[in-house]
Amino acid sequence: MVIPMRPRSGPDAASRLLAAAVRALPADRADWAEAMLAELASVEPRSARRAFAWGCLRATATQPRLLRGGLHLIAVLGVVVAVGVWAATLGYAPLTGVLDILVLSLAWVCWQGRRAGMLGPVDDGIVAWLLRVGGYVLAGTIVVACATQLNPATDDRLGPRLFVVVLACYLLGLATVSARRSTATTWLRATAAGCGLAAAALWVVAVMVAPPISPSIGGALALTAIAAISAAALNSGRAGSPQRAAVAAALAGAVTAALIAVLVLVLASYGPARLIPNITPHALTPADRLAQSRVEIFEPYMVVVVFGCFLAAALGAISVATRRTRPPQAAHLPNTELPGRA
Amino acid sequence: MARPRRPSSQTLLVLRTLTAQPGHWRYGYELGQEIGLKAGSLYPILIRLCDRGMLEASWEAEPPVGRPPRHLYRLTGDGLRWAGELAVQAAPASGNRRAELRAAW
Repeated sequence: MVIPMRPRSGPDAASRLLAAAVRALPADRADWAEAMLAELASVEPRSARRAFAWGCLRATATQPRLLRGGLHLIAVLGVVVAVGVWAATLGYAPLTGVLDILVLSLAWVCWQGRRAGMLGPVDDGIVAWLLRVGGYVLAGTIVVACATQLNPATDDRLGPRLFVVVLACYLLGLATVSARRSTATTWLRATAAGCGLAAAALWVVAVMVAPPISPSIGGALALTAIAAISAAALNSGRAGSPQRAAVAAALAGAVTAALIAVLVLVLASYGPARLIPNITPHALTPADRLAQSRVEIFEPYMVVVVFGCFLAAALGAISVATRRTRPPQAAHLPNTELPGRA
Repeated sequence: MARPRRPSSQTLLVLRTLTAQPGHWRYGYELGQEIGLKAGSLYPILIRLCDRGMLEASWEAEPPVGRPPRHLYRLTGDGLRWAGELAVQAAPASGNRRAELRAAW
């Protein structure tokens, strides 16, 4: 029943409940929140107000985006707790601490990835989405690599810090360039990521055709530079700009370096023996030499990782410096007019 | 504009009620009362219809003193056409059902 407004001494339980419920709605649903609150102001008696408020609470709680947000929060918290519990069982305090920092920073970026801002919602298009997911996968790979590569027998204090810096640079670089507020276009992302993929593919072909994996990183650095220059060339000229060329170069270089580093890690761990160069003393047995070489071969490629990390940091910095001042409006805004509400 | 899938029976009820007085603006709560839908079911339907351009929403121009302006709803041209198509589709379907029942009898 709807009856004329009666003066109310203050907000009742239904008003408070509804006010709390509509706060959870996304910003572009603000007019629906106002609509529900205004509707409640006309509803009497108390039981009908309560029923209406509960109904609106149900309506807001079942909004798909809110449900996705809830699932996202549960997933992030679940991973943090699971890795935290696992890290606590490792029995090596520096490694446990590093894993905690890594996972917390990953969770922070994942959380920020759903909020409006420079790390905010991923831009439209499959390429931006792939870059964002690729960044998360890369971060997860770094966490796993950190857990497997750090040696509890040695008091390695530089390694853990390096892993944290690499993770942070890559996550921030890829999150900012794939965000909606980035000025990077689909063409820029596609060409830069494509150049990076092509360069990494060339590196794999070279290793397969002329094994083993080279202990010298000259080829990997040259391919990284070629990918960066190619991406910059594709994004300069009449259609591009110096800023876009710089973003494309940094993205292509960071992708190439990361992919080559991951490929070295994978091939060194699981690749056939013909791909592993002999870089250990001859005093060891052949089996020990192979096992030791599989571990040692990644070490020179840490320079490639650090180089890629600089490029990823530059990518994040350029993306932030050239960001859009306001995020574009969401595609699905309710069709509302506001007569009498100038 | 992509046509939505076949709507739920509750959405059909909302569409049918709004089609009865096409140009008339309706309040959300009253609409829910009229068709027996609670806010928890009605608002998601209204939000979806608005998102798909089937429903337009407006604000009350001159609300009574001391009360905030309320949201008003009515079907758009697309919404009216869609509701009409659904009504046409529903009619033969109910006819077939009747024929089936007659044959079974």
